[in-house]
Amino acid sequence: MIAAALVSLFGALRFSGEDLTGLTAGSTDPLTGRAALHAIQADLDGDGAMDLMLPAEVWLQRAGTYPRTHRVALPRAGECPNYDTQPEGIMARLPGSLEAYALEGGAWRNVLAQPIEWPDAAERAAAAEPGHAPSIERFLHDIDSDSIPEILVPGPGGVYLYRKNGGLYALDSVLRVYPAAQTLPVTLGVLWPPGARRPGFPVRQMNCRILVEGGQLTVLQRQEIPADQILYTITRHNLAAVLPGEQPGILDQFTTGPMPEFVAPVRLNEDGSVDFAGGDWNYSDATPLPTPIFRTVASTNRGESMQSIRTQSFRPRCSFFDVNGDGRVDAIAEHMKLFDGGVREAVNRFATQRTIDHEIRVHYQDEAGIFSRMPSIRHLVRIDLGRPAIRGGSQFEQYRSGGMIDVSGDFDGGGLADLLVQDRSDRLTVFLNRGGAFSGEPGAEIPLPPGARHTVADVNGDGYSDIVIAWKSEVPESEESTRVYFARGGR
Amino acid sequence: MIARLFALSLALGPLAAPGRAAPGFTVSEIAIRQPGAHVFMAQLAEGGPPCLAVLDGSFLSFYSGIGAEPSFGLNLPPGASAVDVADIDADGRAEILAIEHGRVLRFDVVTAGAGAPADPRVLFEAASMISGPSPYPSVMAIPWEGKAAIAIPLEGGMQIRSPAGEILADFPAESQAPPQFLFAAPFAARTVASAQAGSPGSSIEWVINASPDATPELPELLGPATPAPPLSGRTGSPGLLREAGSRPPESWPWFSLRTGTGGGPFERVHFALAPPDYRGTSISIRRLGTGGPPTPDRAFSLSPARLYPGVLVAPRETLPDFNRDGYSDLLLWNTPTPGASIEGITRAVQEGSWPVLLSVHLFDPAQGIYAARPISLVRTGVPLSWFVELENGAPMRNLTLADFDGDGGCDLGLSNSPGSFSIWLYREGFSNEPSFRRPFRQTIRATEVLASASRPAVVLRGATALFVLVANGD
Repeated sequence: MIAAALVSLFGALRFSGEDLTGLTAGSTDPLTGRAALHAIQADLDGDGAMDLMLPAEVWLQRAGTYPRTHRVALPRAGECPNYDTQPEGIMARLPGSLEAYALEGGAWRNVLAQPIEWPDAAERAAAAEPGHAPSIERFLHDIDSDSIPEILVPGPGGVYLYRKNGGLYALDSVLRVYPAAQTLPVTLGVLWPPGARRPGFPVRQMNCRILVEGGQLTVLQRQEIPADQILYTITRHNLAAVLPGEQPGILDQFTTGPMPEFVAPVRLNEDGSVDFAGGDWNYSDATPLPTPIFRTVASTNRGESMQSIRTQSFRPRCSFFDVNGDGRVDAIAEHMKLFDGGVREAVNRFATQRTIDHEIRVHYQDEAGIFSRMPSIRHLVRIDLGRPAIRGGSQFEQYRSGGMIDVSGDFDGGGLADLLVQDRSDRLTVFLNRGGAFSGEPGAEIPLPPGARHTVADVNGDGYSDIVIAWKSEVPESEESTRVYFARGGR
Repeated sequence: MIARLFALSLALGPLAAPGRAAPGFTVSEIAIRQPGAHVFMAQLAEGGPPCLAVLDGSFLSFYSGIGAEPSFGLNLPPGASAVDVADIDADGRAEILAIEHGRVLRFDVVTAGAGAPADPRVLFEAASMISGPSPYPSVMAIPWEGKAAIAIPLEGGMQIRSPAGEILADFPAESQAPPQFLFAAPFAARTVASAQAGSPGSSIEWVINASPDATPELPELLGPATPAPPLSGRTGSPGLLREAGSRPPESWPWFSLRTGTGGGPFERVHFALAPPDYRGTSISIRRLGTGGPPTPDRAFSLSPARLYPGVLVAPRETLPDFNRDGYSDLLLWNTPTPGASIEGITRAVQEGSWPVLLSVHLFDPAQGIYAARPISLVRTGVPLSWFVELENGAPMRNLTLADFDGDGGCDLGLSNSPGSFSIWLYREGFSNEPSFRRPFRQTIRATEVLASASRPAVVLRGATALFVLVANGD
């Protein structure tokens, strides 16, 4: 039986807490605000609710949660396949074979079993050895919108495309879309001392990111250039129109202008093109203390120009998220006020105060892709670290790493991003977004076990963001516990 | 590039620690245009002193003595991709070799005041696989059967040619040799769990890395094989080090106990930050049982965890062996409160220097433990704000453990303000005052220590200049 449902007792929002140990979430991506659930979300039993496929079992959703009575072990899990979901159920890539299963009456029915060769055969065989776990990684994608998913697997020579024909999947094409390898600009051989000189052989590397979305395959290649800068070459291929055995045509290709080396490709708006964003640290001598300055950088025009936002002493957990729900991602900067004011004031704060004032600033992105120079939202919160910053400790470390503030959740389903703050070691507080400002009054308070970390994700796919809390007890080698607080809307 | 060089000899105060007096350091400043300029040692004349070569974009310059102007500099042609400095015609003087669009070029070194460098000579053409947006150092000139030859990496392997272009030998790339770099796997594809450039749920995103080339196995006669460095170990982020304390010591991060190959990589020092304050480090030492050669499956014993005050500076490239006994030692940092009063703290901050205490604990092979009492305590200070953004888990910047003065020992260098660098030379312990400290006009971003014939060159990298430190000797 799922552990006690717990409804937040304070504020305008309702949350119910469910113990879901076994479900884990990765850290929040600082450029997208998305946390990677270690599960694939899909409706596997056709009831319209989002179920969860974990590496070894499927959790079926019932009444907005995942009761232990509705968990089904995945077929062939002992052989550690690579699983993905499809409209009719699940598919498993096994060494030398492919199998598909549909969920019927709480049990799996095999609907496909065929031999097939994979480009990552050695990896699949190694994964099937004892001591490994199944993987849940996407390999199914409907490239031609015929409701029959194709299989895409990257291999050494290209991306292997398999199509279903006559009820079975077969290799259709090897899409040779990888860019040419580049020589690493590192010293070759041993130059010194003269008696030890020895030539070296160059190392060439091919590094790229490949995105398959709709009927397109996009290759993003990063190239380092002098002065600590980079270029990206982006090539879009027409995957939907590729004929059997042939190569996909190139829709377009462009190379960005020079950009700082720390930016990465992201999607900041809905104009269909790839954008770039990142952040780095600098130091300012303009303040009484040599203060670190965090610079958030973004380009919404293919790297032609960079916009930057500077803030003092803080790298946010997430620097970009669509806060106002207009489809364009906004920039988030956070300001630690610990070092504000004069030296004596700052020292007094650092050495004696157990609370830190922290400001969240949101810069909206307009239709032209420009982030507002002045913050569109400013919101001040006070965080209790339990002890002065000078004494350090896990609370201060968690704060410093950005782990106490999150602006990536919509807890009331209003289409706006709300603010989640761990304002005490034992509590999370939600401040609802009232359109242009976060509420000054808490919308809900969630209790936290000691040492817990939290992640925001819409676990059950109901449109309300949920809060995943994970913690370990102080018993050595104990398993990590997980509790999910499902948002249930307003009271 | 316009390179300016000037020397500053620094008079250093006496050291408090016993033993030999520490030398001063001479500092040279070399302006650079590319922050990633290559710096390496070269020998321009047979039996002559080593000099410093700087490859800044396509400008190559040499500094044959500290305190002198650059003795030679030339602009490599556009498209040059590899550069070597060696005596290719056995005349006792070095030439410069460069690869440019499939041509192997030779430049003569012309000393300062001897006129402009002559145009390069094309030695031969070869379809080298070396390419890149800007040149980088590459060993090409090698001895071959008693004569000078040129090693050229081609698509199919390494080819040895005479300076006239005659093919002397081929070493085909037949097998996928172990990669030189950990990240150079033949092929690796990783699915991005939460799509970054695409829409979540409706897209697939992969990161693909491949190092597709086979590597030739080069014989000893092309030069002595580089011995494998001692295994330095497995470290982790500060978060991982904090979490480690709740797990058994055998799963903690570790580094090799021994700095040489003796004992193999199996004797390890496991470490974790100790709760609740994480201001101490728990150390557990894994050692081999007695008898037989060291192998992975021989029995180990793991010592009980001992607590040391301070946070371990986790070894990275260099295992610190301060007393040169072949065993890694511990370097820990701590931060005492600078006085009990707000005034004392304010004064420390206004001086731009929050106290940091570094302590060295030597390994005692007889006891099999690290000494409880530190052999050295170094008091220094860093800006308070550096505690907010630690670098490799420590508030100091550019912390470098290397032999700075050529005596074969492990010394300590660090920046305790953005534009300064300090060196403590190990002399049966560290003195409290640095052996060298100097402010520079720009932020020091990285350090390199280049081995030389006698004294190493310590290169401090700024955005637009290199600062080269060389110990003056006793």
